[in-house]
Amino acid sequence: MPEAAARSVISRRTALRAMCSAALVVVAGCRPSGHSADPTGDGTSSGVGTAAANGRGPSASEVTAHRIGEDEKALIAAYDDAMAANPELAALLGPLRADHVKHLLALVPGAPTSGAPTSSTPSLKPSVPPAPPSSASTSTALASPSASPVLDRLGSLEHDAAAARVDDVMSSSGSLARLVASIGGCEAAHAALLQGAAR
Amino acid sequence: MSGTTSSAAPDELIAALLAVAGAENAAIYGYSVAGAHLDAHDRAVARGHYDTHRAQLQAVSGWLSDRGATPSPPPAVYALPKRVTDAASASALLVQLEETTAARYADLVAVADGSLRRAAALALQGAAVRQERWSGHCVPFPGLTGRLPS
Repeated sequence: MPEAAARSVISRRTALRAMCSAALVVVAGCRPSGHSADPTGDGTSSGVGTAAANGRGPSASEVTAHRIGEDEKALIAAYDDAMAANPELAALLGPLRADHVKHLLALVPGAPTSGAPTSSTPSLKPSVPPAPPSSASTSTALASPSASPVLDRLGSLEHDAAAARVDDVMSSSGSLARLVASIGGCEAAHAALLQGAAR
Repeated sequence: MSGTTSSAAPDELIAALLAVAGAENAAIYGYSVAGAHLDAHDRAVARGHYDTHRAQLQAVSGWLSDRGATPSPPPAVYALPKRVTDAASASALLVQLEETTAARYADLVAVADGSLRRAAALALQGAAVRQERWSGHCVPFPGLTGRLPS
């Protein structure tokens, strides 16, 4: 009994610490919505930078947030590639790209979002090959024949990203887990929207 | 430090589960109201979403009873967050109900662990996909709208 209680206290303290670290990241990206309590809150201060400035190493939450941030950068790059090759898709894809920029900034406040990433190939899952050009050429109701495989490919990336976020949720805690779960929800919705557009 | 250790007092977890059950009950009621205002195609889609919410409520009830708690019975009368008079207002209601559902699952993710946390994250994704179905667009942070930059 005392042993269980002690374990519970420790795990709660550990969890609290994790939640505080995550809260740093999340709160730094927070912007009042419909409230004017913090008119200067522009979401640009960096929770991760604060940790570094305090002289301690990155927490597990910060490491997780940065790793997911890299996935978000890869997705942003995939959208950039798709829109460069198919400018007519900008109206459809632009808002989805913008969501990933918001994800990145919520995870890693102040992260550069317009610079070229290290690789233009998303590194989400090596098992997902690019969609072959012929794979979706028969379904072109909304998209042009050349656009449909692009939408399929992005939809597949979003689908895999959403699945990866579920795993990421399992290695996060507290408010970071909540944020990551929400990002996964957005990516699942992106996948559904792209599937619908590709048909 | 493991992110998968227990991260909430039992009371917090029960409260989060009860809140999810409340959201599922509200969604079930809302879909039954909205369905009558939708065209045949959308009504069929809504029927599928209604069934999903019923199944989710069953799952949540199971999670609660596993922990020695029982879900509160659904209220006899719901105050819908939006007035439903036509297809547009019906869709708007469903968008709002799915956002609320996503929000309660997001809160559950924050306090649950293990398979329950995974199930909550997947349920949030389902709500986000349904929300997109009724609004026609995506929100960057489903379940956290108004709580984060959007």
